[in-house]
Amino acid sequence: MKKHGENISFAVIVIILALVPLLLQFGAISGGSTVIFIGKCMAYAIVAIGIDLIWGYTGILSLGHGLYFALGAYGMAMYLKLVSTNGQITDFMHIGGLKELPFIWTLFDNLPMTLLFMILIPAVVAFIIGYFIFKNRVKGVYFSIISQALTWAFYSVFIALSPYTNGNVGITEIKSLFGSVKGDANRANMFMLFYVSLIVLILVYVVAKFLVSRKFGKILVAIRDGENRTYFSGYKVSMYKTFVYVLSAIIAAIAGAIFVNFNGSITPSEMTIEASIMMVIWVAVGGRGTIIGAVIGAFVINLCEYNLSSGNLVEIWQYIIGSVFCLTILFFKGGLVGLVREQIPALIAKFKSNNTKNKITKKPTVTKLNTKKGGLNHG
Amino acid sequence: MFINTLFNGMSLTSIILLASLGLSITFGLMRVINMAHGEFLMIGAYTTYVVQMVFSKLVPEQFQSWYYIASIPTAFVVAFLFGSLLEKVVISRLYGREIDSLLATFGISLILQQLARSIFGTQGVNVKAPDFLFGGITIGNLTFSYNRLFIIFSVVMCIVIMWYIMYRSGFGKQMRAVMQNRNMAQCMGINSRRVDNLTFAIGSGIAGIAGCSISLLGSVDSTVGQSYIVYAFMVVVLGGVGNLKGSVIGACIIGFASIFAENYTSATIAKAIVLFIVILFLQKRPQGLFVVRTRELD
Repeated sequence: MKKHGENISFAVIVIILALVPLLLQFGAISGGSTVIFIGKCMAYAIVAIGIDLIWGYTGILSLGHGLYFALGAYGMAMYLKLVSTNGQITDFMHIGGLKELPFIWTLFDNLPMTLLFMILIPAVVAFIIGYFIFKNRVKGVYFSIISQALTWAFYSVFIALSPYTNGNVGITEIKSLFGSVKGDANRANMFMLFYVSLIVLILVYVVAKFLVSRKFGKILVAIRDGENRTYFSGYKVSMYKTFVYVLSAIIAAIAGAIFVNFNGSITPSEMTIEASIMMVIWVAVGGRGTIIGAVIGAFVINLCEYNLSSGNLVEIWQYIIGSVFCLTILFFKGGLVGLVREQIPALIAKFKSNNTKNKITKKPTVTKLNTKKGGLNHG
Repeated sequence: MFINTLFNGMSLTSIILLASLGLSITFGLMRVINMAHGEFLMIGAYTTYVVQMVFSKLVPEQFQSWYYIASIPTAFVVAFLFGSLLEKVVISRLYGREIDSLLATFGISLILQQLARSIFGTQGVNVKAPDFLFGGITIGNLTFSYNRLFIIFSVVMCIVIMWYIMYRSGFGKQMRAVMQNRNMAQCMGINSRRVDNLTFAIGSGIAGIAGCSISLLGSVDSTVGQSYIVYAFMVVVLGGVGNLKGSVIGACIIGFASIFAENYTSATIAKAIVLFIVILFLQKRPQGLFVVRTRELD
């Protein structure tokens, strides 16, 4: 039971998600916008899984996954936009002074090509950056800073190339792959999109789970906990790192493509540094180093934000998210999952031992995250 | 034209340098990256604004423009106190957890930004440059504005003071000892907790002075620190950690590269070029320009 706890929890989440459209149909949830929001949360959960692979398992903190999310989203958005204009150039390109569709967007004029390049472009960017950074054993915060700067540079490029990307406004007013999802009349389209996204979420979960439960996953954890020792054991750490980085970039791009279907628009604000760190916050609060933690974190934080951050509560929400994140990092390294797995059993054990006046000094045998490596002996 | 660009580069360099100084020293000392460092710039800038308000209420007309002189030490002290508090409450629990420190301080940065919005509103506020900084020196057909000259001057002062503290004072000796070998320094009776706290606070205070400078250049809002902080982080990567020389040279490279690239191409391309330079540079020296040598591997 305990061994499969993660899969069982995920199954429960999937069943609840599968019921959401039905609940709407029978009137238990009012308003299609909630369902659309939950759809966006699925996209967030997917990108969180990607971040968990690279950060939770491999210990590389990327502050730039918003970039890959946005690259996937822009690709998909452009395809959907071109569908609505029958492959003609769009309004903003016209205003920007372009006479015909730029080459980069001609790659996105049919679905198979879109699906290919939507994944290929982020993968190539991630590979180039990852290869050159990891080869030289640039690690820790150095990598985080570089990834942050990368997002920052791309963000300003996307703003500046406004004939191509519509600058600050982004690509707006697009329908989903299955047609419009807004309003009651288009409910069938929305359900179709919702279930397809759910299937993608399940697939990504299965792939991630498959990878981390093999030897591959063990090597990732080894890199996290003792990079040099893994080198000395004869593994090509940089190749593993690059691979995970590219994989998580691809996952983020897929998530971005799903997101844009639900959202109906994509703006550069999805690729800011803040947006990227928010993604890390979901994983941290849910529980790093467990795939289910990433999924739970993405849903919990976003649903809380959806319900809290309206009207006057916006201010309070910023304080809440800031302090929750800070406290999680300081005291609950395992996040929500860690709380359930470690802290609460430990509390119960303590409570029991106090009752019987028989102190149990043994700690519960759960693999802890070894983030304290090296202790104070640095530099 | 060329000299003008050089001058602009120098003024950007000096601000980046002030912003990155504290970051680099605390990272060298405690292996802690402070994502909230940009918010210390913001604190400094808002402090300048508050001092200006107080002066306009309480001080007679002829001393009005002295507010700016008064705001520099005030900004330092306010940021110093915030830094000291932050170190006590949060950072001291994060020793040796580099990446976690980055994330936890991002939470702090969210809180501080919202705090600024709650107090001063979402609209930016303007700091009026004092009278004696209006205008500039004109040589030939070039104009060097006084406020940028003043910023450069204040940076030079900060560097000299920082150099003195780090390399000539007793406290600096303790600081470098802790930086090189914490355990050994503790064995020699250095109170490393106190050294950490003071160093972090001084770094924050310098960021406060930087905030004072940037308040002259534009309006002040809750995200004012963010526009400089990415540069400051890159200086840390480029210059290596924990020494003045690295920060100065790193800031020069980033500052001049971005102004020159901006001048001959555009602001966006400049950002990409700077990033490219940093990545290229890391191919040769993954640890930065100047490294404090140790025999440790991990």
